[in-house]
Amino acid sequence: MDKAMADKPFPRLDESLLSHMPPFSKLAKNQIRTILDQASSRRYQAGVAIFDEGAEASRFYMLLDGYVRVVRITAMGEQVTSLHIPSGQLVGIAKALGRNTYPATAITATEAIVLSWPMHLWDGFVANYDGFATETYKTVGNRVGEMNNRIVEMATQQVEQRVANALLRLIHQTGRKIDIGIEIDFPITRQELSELTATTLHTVSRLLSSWEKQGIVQSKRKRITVTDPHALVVLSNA
Amino acid sequence: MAKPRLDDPDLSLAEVMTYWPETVPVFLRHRMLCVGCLIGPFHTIDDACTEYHLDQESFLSELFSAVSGNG
Repeated sequence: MDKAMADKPFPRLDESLLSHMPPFSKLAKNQIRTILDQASSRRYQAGVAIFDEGAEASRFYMLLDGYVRVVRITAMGEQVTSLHIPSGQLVGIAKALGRNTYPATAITATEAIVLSWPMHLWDGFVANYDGFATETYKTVGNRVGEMNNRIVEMATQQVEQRVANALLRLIHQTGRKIDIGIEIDFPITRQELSELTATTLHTVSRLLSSWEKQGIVQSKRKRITVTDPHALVVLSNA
Repeated sequence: MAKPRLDDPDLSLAEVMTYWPETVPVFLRHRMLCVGCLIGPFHTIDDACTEYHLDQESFLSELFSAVSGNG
């Protein structure tokens, strides 16, 4: 997959960009300045790879705006989405996992703005910047927790509950309140939803159509809105 | 940041239970699924009362008395 090039150079980045992001929130303005001066910023179109599974982990990234899908490609060439990452989080943190290569591919789900640093700065960040390591481990912990939940769901729940839970998690992480309900704030296809829940496209389509008839969701052209969240919670617990 | 008011109509259920954990038993007593619910950041006390067909005024007063230690 092609790496997207920046559309145009960014102006000098302001400290306020990072000061409220958890890994950097305990730092003084001059420390954030140093961090920003070492960063490269890039704007990516939707649907391009920021880094590829198996490639040498030469940089780590901070998603400033947009959403990223973390995918693995199977030996048979099938794509499986393992996580969705919202803005404000670090990505490509191979070093925190004790790896030299990226464990998965990160693909932008929307247009995205991303900062990145060379990986050789990682150890210095951990040693010198208060809160950076703690927040990184929290992020790793949350992602492991999320994957554990999915394993338990796949082992114990009916497919209808799994799809309901996947939608609830997506609106919890990325939802936007609109007139008719809560919308998942990035484009997601039925195929992707089926990969997330270990089921078939056919099953996801059948469930969404039936929920649509019951007034629980509305979906069109990669956009899904949960119009009756309470009913979906009840279904997910059924 | 100042603690919000429990009767603020825009307060989310997640905020209610974060600021006043003592309200959790009230939700459980009514067999509501709100505790730990993923929709918590989006729904308000009003939304919850609508879903569970509860009288908002009397539910609010139960929350207030839980907060004041008489729950």
